This record gives sequence, structure tokens and C-alpha cells, in this order.
Amino acid sequence: MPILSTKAARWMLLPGCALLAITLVGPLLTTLVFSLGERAANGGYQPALTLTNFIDIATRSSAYLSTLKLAGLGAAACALVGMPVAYFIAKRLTGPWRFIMLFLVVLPFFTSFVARTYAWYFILGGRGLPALLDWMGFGRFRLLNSEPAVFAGVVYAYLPIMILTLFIAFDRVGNDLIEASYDLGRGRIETVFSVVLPLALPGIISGYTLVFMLLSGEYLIPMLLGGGKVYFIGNAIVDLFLQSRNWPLGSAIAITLVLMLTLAATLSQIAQRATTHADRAD
Amino acid sequence: MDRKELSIWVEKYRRGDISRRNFLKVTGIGATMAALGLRSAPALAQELSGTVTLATWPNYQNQANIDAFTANTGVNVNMAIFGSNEEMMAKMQAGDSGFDIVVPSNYAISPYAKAKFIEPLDLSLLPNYDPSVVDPRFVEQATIDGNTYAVHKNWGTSGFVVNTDTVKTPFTSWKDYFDGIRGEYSGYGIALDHPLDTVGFALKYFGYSFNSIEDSQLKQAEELLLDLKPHLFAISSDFQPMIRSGDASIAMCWSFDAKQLSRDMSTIQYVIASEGGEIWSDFYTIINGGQNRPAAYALVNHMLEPTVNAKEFDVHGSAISDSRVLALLPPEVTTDPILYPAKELLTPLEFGTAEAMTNPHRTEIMARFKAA
Repeated sequence: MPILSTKAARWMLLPGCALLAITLVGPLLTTLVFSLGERAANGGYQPALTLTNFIDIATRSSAYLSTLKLAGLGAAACALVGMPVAYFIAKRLTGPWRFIMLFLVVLPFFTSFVARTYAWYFILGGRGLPALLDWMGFGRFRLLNSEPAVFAGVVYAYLPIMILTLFIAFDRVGNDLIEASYDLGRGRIETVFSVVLPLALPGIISGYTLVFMLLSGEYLIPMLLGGGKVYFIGNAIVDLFLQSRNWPLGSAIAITLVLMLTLAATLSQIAQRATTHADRAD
Repeated sequence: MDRKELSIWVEKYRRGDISRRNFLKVTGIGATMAALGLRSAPALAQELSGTVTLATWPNYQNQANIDAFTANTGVNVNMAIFGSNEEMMAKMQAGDSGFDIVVPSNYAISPYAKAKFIEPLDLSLLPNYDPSVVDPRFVEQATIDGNTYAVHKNWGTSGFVVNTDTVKTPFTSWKDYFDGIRGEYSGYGIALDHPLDTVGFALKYFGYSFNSIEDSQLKQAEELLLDLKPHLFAISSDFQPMIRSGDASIAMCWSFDAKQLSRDMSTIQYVIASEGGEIWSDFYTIINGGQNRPAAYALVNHMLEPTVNAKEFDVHGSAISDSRVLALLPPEVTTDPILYPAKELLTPLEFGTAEAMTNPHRTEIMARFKAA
């Protein structure tokens, strides 16, 4: 017998649904309405019914390409770097050491995101790493305001989130299955590739998607480390709302970003399901 | 307390710089009256309390002056820091900004007034404001249909800086700036992240008005900026670290940035371009229908007191026009060529206009320039 009656359970969903309606559906509908409007003479929004804003999105195509490229590569780099760490914590460490390592992974979150990104601004600026390289005799480099600088910034910022997600994925792979693999004569490395990774794959995909989606909305890192030379969709939206005050075009771009992320989430779901089925078929 | 000191306090009280309660306390009059069993007459001026929010710019107010105001009146001061007039305007357009005082640039005053974000000032509440001691050009910028909407805070010019350590050819014009960065100094230039100035400077390259809103002229400016983009090191208004570290050598800038850089780097040269550029002034304005109007006026009045205003210079380092303040500043400040350039250099400079600031074509050019 269920603990709660169906009726009571439905009532308990109400606060959550109300919150979602106020904080998600409401603003989304407002954005949709704005995206069909016109820029008022002094900026802002004035009512209209037009699709020109969606056509004007083409003028921001490089922002979309830049975002897709750096979010895609950044999430991939986070996954590649994060996997061995997450595997090590989940499968090699026991007792307090797991806790200590996980604590170290989340430690950067104890300071402000802006402060940590500013730290990179000074590390990559002419008096930081380039000065050190110059002193060591490698010649004078300029690192700031480039795609590699933004790439370094996003990998640094999102690696902990990736490690935590991957930790859960690896942790869920039962030790009995790994031992069974050893008993059946497979070596350590072979076990990782033929047992652990396939079983953790849905979790890896969801970790990649999560970081990709977070990165797609990023604007602070490209602003600070890209210096206006590396420009994300997020930067385009911020500029359109705060600088050009073209709210309708900003809203149209925001809508496409939401659609893009919904598509990414759907593809991720399909991929996760496919990999789970493949395991069962084996 | 001698007679002279007492007269200073009386004067301060008269101007509204200190509250009645503090006046009675510091002068000892309150204690004397209490000892005699007397109670003070009803407040002459309105008692101040609560909080005021001042929307201003980074490094633009002296905290010591703010603290003194709080100590004298009991009014707490919040500061909301913004990077551009556009951002401040966006906040007010969104409604219920919570600001009491806003510090706009000259060209933002009329859009704010038209939108009724700010009120025509009640000058009787600002006894420290004296338009006759301020350059008439700045007074004019603050007056709309005969009403004073704003009081002068500080002013400056816009041009560019060159680090002569790495830039060996002479730079004197916008032609030098745009052609130099697209040529010999590719990768070492910085453009401001500021639509009015950046588009305005590109227009000056062709000899057009800084404030042009002619489509054909703007088209040329857009092409020039898009052509410049790949050669730039950054588009940023927070560019000082990049010049200081040697990552970049040429940057569009405001005179106070140039002053701050040249204070620490002897090789920094500030150029007011021969084609012209911009002269600007920032102001204090009072929000329309603010929550704490008396305290907002009292704070602005406090900031305009000449000795207080002179201390503001220590923080913003920008030129002040008020001649009472100039008398208090050291002579090396008032003769500084970056802060107070020769008259003939100022003549070709234009004030930015509200039409140029809000023109959709100009702002879209800037947005495309950044997104390119």
C-alpha cells in the first residue's frame, strides 16, 4: 500500500508546480512575447508582431559558432581530464580518503566564481605566465583575449562539476561486476574498458551534456579572458539587453539558446537510453 | 570651542551638512540646554534618516565623504556601481530601480528627464550648488527647457593613450589610431566597449560629426570598425591592466584613465586627436518619486560642499569645473595637461548627444562590431 494516497501526493506537487510556473514558465513566455516585438525608440521593448528579430539572428552567427565550438570542446576536455580522477576517487579510494578528495574537488566553490576567473585574468595577463615564460627564455607570448585563454578558463571552472557527475556514474558500477570480470580472467585495464566504461557511459553522457549546457550560457569567462575577441551567445544577450537595449533581438536569441539546449538535452536522453539498452542486450 | 570653530559648525548646520542632533552634540549646545532643563525648539530642517542609494561609476566616490555624511546625518548610503549609462538606463527602464541619486553623463540627462526617471531639481535644497562657479557649457548640458535637472560633478575628454615605449611613430589623430592598429601595431590596440565613443571615433576618422546619425556615414564607420576588429587586442573599458602589463600599447580612453596610467607609467602619452573627439561631464541627478528625497538632496548638497568635493578628486582623479574647488586643489592638478587641456584643444571637441546615445543604428553597429 502506498504511504500517501494519490490525491494527497498530487496536492504536494502543487508548491513545486507553482514555483516552476512563476520562475520558469512566466519569464519564458515574457521572453517569447518580447522576441516578437520591436525595439522602442529609446531602447527597450514596444509591442509588435514580427519575425524580423529571428531573421536578424544571422548577424550573430559567429557568436553561435564560437559558443558551440568552445562549449563542445570544453565539455570534452573536462570529461577526458575528469574521468581518471572520478574513477580513482570512486573505485580506488575508500573510507575518509574518498570524502577528503571529494571535498578538495568542491573546495574552489568556496570562493566566488568572479574572483577565480579574475585570477586567471592575471595569470594569463602579460605580468603572469607570459612574464615567467619570457624569463625562462621561451620568448614573449601573449595569452589573454584568445580562444585558448577562454578554453583554459572554462575547463578550470567546470571541471569540478564534471568530476562530481562522473564520480556518481563510476560509483554506481557495482564492485561485484568488476570482481566477476577479474574472476573470468580479464586484466585491470581490460576491465575498465569492457566493463566499467560501458556501464558508466550513460552517466558520462549526462555529465558531458550538463557541462555543455552550462558552458553554452556562459558569458563571464569569455568577457574576462576573451576581452571582446571571443564572444559567446551569452555575451550577445547581455550586450543586447544592457548596451544596445534591443530587448526584442536579445529575447529572440535567448529563445534560440533555450531551444538549442532543449535539443541537446533530448539528444542526450536518446543517447543515454541507447547505451543502456545496448548493455542489456549483451 | 572657540568662536571661529562654532561659526564653522553653524555654517555647516545652515548648509545642511550636519543634522540638528549632531550640531547640538558637537557644539555642546545640546548638553548645556539639557543641563538647564531646556529642550530644543522643533527641528528647523527636516530630520534625516533611512537609506539612500547612489547609482554611480567604479572608483567614482570618496568613501570618506560618504562616511562623514552617514556620521553627520545617520543616513546610510548604498552604492550601486555601473559600467555604462546604458546599463543604468536599462535598470531604470525595467522599473523600480530603487535608486535615489543617479550619476549620468551629459548625454543621458535628457533621455532620463523625458522618461521622467529624474526630477527637475529643487535648487533651494542644494544651497551648495552655485551655477555661476561652473563652466557655462556644463550648466547648459544640465538644463532642459529652463529647468535644472542635474548638477555638475566632474568632467573630462575622450581620446586615446599611446605607450611610447613600444610605439615609436608619432600618434596625433584618429587616422593614426585606426591606420596604425591596422598596420604596424596590429594586435596591440584596444577599443572601448562603449557605443557612443567607439562609433563616434570611427566617424571622426572620416571627419564626420562625433554624433552623426546619417546612415551613409554610419555605414562607413561600421566598415572601418569591422576592418579594425581582427587587429585589436581587446574591446574593453577595463583595459588599464592590459596597458600596464605591456600586452597592448594603444587604447581609446577617457582622460581619467590616461591620468591614472600616466601617474604610474612615464611613457604614457594622452592624445586628444586632431580631428576632434568628445568632451563630457558627469552630474548628480535626483530620481523622480524616490523613497528618501530629503536625504538624497542632503547627500548631493554634501558632495557639492567645496572641501568635500575637493576630496572627491583624490578618488576619481577627474577634472572638476567648480572654481571654489579649483582654489582648494594643488596647482599641479589645475595645470595638468591631461586633466585641464589648453583651450584650443578643447574647442573642436563635441558633447555627446542623447540622439547619438539612443540611436538604434549606432548601438547595433557596436553590437555587430563586438559579435564579429
